[in-house]
Amino acid sequence: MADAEEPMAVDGGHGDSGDWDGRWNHVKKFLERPGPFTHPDFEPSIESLGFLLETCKILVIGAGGLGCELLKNLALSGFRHIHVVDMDTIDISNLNRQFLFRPNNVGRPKADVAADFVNNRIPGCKVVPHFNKIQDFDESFYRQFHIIVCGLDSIIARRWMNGMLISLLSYNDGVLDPSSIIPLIDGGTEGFKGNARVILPGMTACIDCTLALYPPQINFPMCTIASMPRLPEHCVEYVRMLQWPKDEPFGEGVGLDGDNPEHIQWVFQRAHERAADYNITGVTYRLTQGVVKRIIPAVASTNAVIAAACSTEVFKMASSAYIPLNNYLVFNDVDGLYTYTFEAERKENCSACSQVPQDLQFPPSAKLQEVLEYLTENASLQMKSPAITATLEGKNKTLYLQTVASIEERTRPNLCKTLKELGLSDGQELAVADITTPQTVLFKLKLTS
Amino acid sequence: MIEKEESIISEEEAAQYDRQIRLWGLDAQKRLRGSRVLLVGLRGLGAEVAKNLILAGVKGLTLLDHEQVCLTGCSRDLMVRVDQLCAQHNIKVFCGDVFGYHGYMFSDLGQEHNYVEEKPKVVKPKTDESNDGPEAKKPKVDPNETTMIKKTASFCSLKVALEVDWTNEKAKSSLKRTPVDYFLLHVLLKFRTDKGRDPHPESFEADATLLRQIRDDVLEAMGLSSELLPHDFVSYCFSEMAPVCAVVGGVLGQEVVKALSQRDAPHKNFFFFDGMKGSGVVDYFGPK
Repeated sequence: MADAEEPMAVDGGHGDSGDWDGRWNHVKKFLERPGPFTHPDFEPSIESLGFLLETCKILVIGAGGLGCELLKNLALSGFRHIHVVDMDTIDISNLNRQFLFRPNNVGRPKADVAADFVNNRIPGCKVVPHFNKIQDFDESFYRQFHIIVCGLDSIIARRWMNGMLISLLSYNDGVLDPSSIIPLIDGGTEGFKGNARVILPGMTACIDCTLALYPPQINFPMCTIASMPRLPEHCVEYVRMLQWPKDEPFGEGVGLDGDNPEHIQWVFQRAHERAADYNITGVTYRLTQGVVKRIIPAVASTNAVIAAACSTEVFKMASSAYIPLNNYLVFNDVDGLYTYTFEAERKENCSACSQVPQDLQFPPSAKLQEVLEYLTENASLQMKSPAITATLEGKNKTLYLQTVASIEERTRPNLCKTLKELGLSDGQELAVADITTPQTVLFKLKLTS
Repeated sequence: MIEKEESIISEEEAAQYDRQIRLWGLDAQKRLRGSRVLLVGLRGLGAEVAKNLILAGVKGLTLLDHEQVCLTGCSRDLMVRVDQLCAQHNIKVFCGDVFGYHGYMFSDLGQEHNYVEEKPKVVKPKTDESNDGPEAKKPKVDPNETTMIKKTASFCSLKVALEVDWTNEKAKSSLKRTPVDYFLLHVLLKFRTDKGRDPHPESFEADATLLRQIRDDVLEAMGLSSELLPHDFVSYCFSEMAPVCAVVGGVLGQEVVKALSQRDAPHKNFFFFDGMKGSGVVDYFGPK
């Protein structure tokens, strides 16, 4: 039986760094030995481990399903300088997969609890948490990292992150400076499906290059919801979109709160009644909640697989020992198991990374409303609530802005005016700001006859 | 063993497991929470499987390891004996291991594993509609309504799965489509039996030589060419790659969940993962 007096090696009884004998042997096998599949330029060296342990700085975005797995994998692989950003607090429904959290952590910020767990569990690891939105930080924050790995749950956030890294790129006489590139490794999961991709901003396909690959959000047509429902989801949407605003059951101006069980119960009962009128089955409380909160099913095993793929790429990049994934992996174990990797190609005129000025072609008689619709509906742009400004008579003029109520009201009449009436000329530059990108996108207006 | 389901699931549990209940349904979750699982081996792969099963919500997880944690995974003989013992008591058995970049899992769910699959309902065409050619032959599928279809799958023992006869003509012709990983597994299990441990980097040269020798012996005994496993196969089966453990652990964990909840088709009966190629293959070895 072990001597109770002697501290266990894992308790850090072996020097300041807490590294017991053989602790990093598994990592050294990759860094200090040649092999048949290493990068052609790779030279085994005993210094590489030092870079991983002491110098390499990784940013993990998201401390949820993917984030917990990523932090575990990175910490166990020897990365010690890790920052993690997450704007959420822990919910009980997270506990089926976000294993760094316990029931008594519910309500606390995910980033804080995740960092605590890893720092306590892995001696020597220093995870720095940030209970923030990614938009709270600017270039000076992101510039400090060697690699950024994302476990996000929204396409908008991905596009913003993508845009931020592109804005860090510097060009000398039109040639990209490689030292300004920060690799972005992005993972995403939904139920039994997932994907992992490697992005070298300015060099390989970025998020916006492949925007059209994302399936469109499921929004049922209004006529179906209003008069021809077939699915239980249609019934819930009817109550959410039409009946609630009309009845205002919990008071004037009180919006539907997905986290309020009384609200969900109210919606559920009426959705159930409507379903009965149309002989539709399947309206349950759970379904109602899922539709109102747009809940995506999630399970630990899928997150494990995708985070593993991402962590492997982080390790490969940091060690320069192996050729990175090139560049988009898909995984699906709904029925059997399917996985495939392909090379996503850059889009020649990508609005985010191509540096090709974007054209906007409209006749002078077109209304500003049409330009707005183009910016939101075009498959390659998919902006959410763009703000359009132009330089007129030497002054910067806001043509339309939605996100501030007073400015929206003031500029709303511009939507009905034609481009000619607004004083816009052919070749004019329009600056467009949107939540999908940290930098303004410049468009060149081409007035057609 | 799956105990009689406790039919009442508490509100807190339903909230905690909400996101996966949306994936496989409440009945499946109830079966999971009545299940007891034995997990043998607690290295990289075992740790990942343990995490995935506990998160899934099984009632109990019993962990079994050898005298010393750093010793090898189970020997082939032990796995075969445990598998046979469990078969007598209708207990489902899963095996798995990771050797360097290569990982595998095997399942023996018994002679008669019953499960359900949720499929869209097939609507029978009305009989009074005029039969006009190909239209009538196509059964209409109603995407809005699903139905649970009961199915049965039959599994063979590990012993039989590993002792496939490759000398007959039929087997030889299917060799091209057979993943090489199956033979690699035989070599590594034989190494484990002979040396009482897995290949260790500290004795790389000696172990590599022994591995190649075992390859020759094993493949010759099966009546196959030793070129089936190329000369450099030894380079990538030492140690346990953490990401390979995560992938195989993820798949294995999900297979256990499927078997316990008796929902969705189980992989039959091997899953091989090649971390070098990033390829995963499900294949069947055993009697037709």
